[in-house]
Amino acid sequence: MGKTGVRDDARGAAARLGMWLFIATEAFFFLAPLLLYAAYRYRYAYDFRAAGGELNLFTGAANTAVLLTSSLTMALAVNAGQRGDKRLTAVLLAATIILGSVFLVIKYFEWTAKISHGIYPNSETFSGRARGEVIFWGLYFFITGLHGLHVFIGVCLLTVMLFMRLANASGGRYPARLENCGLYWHAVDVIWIYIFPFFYLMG
Amino acid sequence: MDNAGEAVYYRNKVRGRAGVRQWIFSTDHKRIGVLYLVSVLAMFSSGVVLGVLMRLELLTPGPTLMGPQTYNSMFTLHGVIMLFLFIIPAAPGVFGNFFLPILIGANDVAFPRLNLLSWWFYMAGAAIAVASILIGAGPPDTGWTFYAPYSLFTGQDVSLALFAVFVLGLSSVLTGINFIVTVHNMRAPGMGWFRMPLFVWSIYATAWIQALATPVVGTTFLLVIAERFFGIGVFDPAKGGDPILYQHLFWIYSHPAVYIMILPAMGIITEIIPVFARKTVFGYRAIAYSSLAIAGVGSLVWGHHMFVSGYSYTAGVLFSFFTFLVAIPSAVKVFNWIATLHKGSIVFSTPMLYAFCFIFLFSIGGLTGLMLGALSMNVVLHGTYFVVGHFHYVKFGGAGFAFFAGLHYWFPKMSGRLYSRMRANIALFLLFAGFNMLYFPMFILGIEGMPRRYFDALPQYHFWQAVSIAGSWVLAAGIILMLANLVHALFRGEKAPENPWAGATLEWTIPSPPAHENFVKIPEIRRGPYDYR
Amino acid sequence: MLLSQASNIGKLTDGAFMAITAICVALFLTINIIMLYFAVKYRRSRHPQSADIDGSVLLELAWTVIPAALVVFMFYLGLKGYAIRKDAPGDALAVNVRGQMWSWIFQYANGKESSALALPLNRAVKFNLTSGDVIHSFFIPAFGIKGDVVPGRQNTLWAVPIEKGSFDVFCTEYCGAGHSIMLSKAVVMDEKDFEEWYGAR
Repeated sequence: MGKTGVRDDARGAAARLGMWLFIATEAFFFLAPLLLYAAYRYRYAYDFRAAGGELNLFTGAANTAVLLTSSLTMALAVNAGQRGDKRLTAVLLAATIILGSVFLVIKYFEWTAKISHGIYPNSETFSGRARGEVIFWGLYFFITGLHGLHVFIGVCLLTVMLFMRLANASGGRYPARLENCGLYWHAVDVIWIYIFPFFYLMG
Repeated sequence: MDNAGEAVYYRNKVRGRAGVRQWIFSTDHKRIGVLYLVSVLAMFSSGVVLGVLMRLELLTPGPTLMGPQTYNSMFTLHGVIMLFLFIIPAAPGVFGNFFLPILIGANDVAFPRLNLLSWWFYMAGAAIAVASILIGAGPPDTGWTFYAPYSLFTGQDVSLALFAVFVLGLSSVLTGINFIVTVHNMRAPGMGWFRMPLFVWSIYATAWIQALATPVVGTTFLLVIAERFFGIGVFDPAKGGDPILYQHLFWIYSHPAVYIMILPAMGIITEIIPVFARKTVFGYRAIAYSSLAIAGVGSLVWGHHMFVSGYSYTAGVLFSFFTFLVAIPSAVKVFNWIATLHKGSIVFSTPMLYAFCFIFLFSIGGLTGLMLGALSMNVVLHGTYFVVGHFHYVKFGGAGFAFFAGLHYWFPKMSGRLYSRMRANIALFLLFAGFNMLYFPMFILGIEGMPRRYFDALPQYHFWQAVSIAGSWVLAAGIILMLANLVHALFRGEKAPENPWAGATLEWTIPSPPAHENFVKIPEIRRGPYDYR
Repeated sequence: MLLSQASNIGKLTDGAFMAITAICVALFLTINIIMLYFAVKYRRSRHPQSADIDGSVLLELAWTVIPAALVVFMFYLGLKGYAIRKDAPGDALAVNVRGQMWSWIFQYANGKESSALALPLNRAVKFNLTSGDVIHSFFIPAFGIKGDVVPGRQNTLWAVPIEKGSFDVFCTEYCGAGHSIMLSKAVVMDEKDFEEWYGAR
């Protein structure tokens, strides 16, 4: 493969199309459990509301704010990367990584709080609960867990990008790569935008 | 680029790398295609062995070769291997990889390293599947469908097998994405959408299904794993979950997966028929659009696997209706193939004979599919041997025979050698005769009411079971002869010329086997793919 | 037992069965005979120069519309024998069919339980299907009826047996090691014999 600028453009276009397709597959990846959510919410409407009410709206909203802010810093980082502003790119990347990590830490405390109250699949106090509530919590742990995993992967990716930046990568294919990481990060963010109302607001 | 012209065949040794490493770390799409070929054929052979042993067990009542538990694991593994490790990756993995870039005049796929990663995921999936047999509580015994709640409770090692399929799905998704981008971005100058060979169209439609449907089954299997480890309850009726929802999620992928198998197969047949009829393909656009129509409508028919599950009456009616609709684009393809023969100048070379067998077998598979799609007939035939017969006619008689047709069509290009046509034709005769002997009796057994997945045949079903079992040996002999003939040709065959079949598509304009970068100079395309005048 | 003649539903289904099978066989023969005819007629030795034809809109339309009409007709045929299965007559004899690994238990309204299914001739029977463990499927080939036995939900089937005799009952959803021994018999007897059996302790 050649190393000319034209080729890099073509490769960038290909990579962008590939990334969009990958994001589409991610959407379908989350579709299955969200379809289950819809089916069970229809069947156990009352239980789902009761269980949703037990979630801490404040932590959920805080996490939403954290993730939305991280999307902003990510977008700015991509922009800075394209303009070739090396320092700003690094700073914004670091900010995004920190915000992503904060999200995970809040999520960790939220999970452990629920688990310490005996709210987790197969726990002893769980058998007495309504069936819909058991399903609600099962889906909650599965979907937020899966999403958390995606955030974690994103944080790892961005850390790699930050190290590449610190190792003085800026030209060539770096901006296109950064842009693709940004697309991924926004996709993870958008998925949370669906999860948040389904679990926290519709309670 | 320039030195690529001096016939640096893709199979030649690469400087600086030794032995098998120059294959398993190569990003050349042709080498990756060959890697897939070797691995899917190994998987196919092990699936055949399991199948023949299973058949044999049914010859006598009671446990002779194996007990029911082993038998159940065997049909599970037979299904998992044949579907996830052979027929789903076979045509895209082997011919998609090897020929898609060449057919559109490209040097490689869009993401060569990702392509290699796909193969590695495939191998990892295969290794995990094998591990599920050897370690833990023993091989899964759920059937390849992993229906809940049985799959949640069985003591066998289901999680590992599910994870294997998950990893294989990842491989399939990445391949799909890679091919879509390749078709969009890598076409040679002048290669408009309607100048692409129809095999490319079929791979393109397939790639969309691979990319979009596979993730659904991926998470569904993760849900079952989570259910087994943590008991999240979503498919467990004891906790309020609904096993029917598992079936929905499973078939939302697994039905389109049937089209992942059959679309590239149809594409291969569409390449072969014009070449050996010396005639341009009849109804190019109709065939191209019908691929997309099959991919689209085929995504709406998953519920026809569940007519007796007890879901709503309306759901049954709708799913049956869409099932009948998806038959139309399939029929359009068949009619166009036959119209291509009209006033052609037909040569009965081995690939063409395979194509005839394909049409014969696939028309039986497709029409019995219509019989199963009719609601009241489905209620009677669901879960019987009729279904087993039907899907073997579609997946083996259709996708499998087309894969072997492609193998015989492109073998000279891939290997640079010619095989013995006489031996290949004898093998095809055995395959065809054995196939019908093995699977046609299953229709009769099904209409007589024999349920599938039975360890023992009841006495009234014995005769046709015996015929079917004898057929499995003929079929196995055919497979052995076919593969032996090709392996023999690989080492002893005559050197193949550039264009042994007088084909008109791009792969026949380059040396056999092709050079590393395919084309010395990226060709400029000025005509359609099947121009024989 | 090629056709399901022993119940009203089976008999009704058989009509559609014959018609659809006939259409499919006809289509199969048409496709393959034309293919072979072309293959022989236009073989290279007899027809060395191929014609230059690349399609025909009229033909494409014809072989889209005609199969479309045929499949819609087949859909309709299948639908006819399906609609009747939906609702059992109100006066049907209720039998609870319980599937479990790996046997069938049939419970009657008076509390009688049996491992074989006794049925009166010419009287509608409604089967309530329940499972305590995994999914099974209740299948009487001679009656042409089948329904999944799903834990957590109750599916129903019905039929009127119209032939005396003893018929196979199968499980058609894979349910583990004993799937193939999960068998029973449906014994259809005269109303009088049935009442006698039903009354006996």
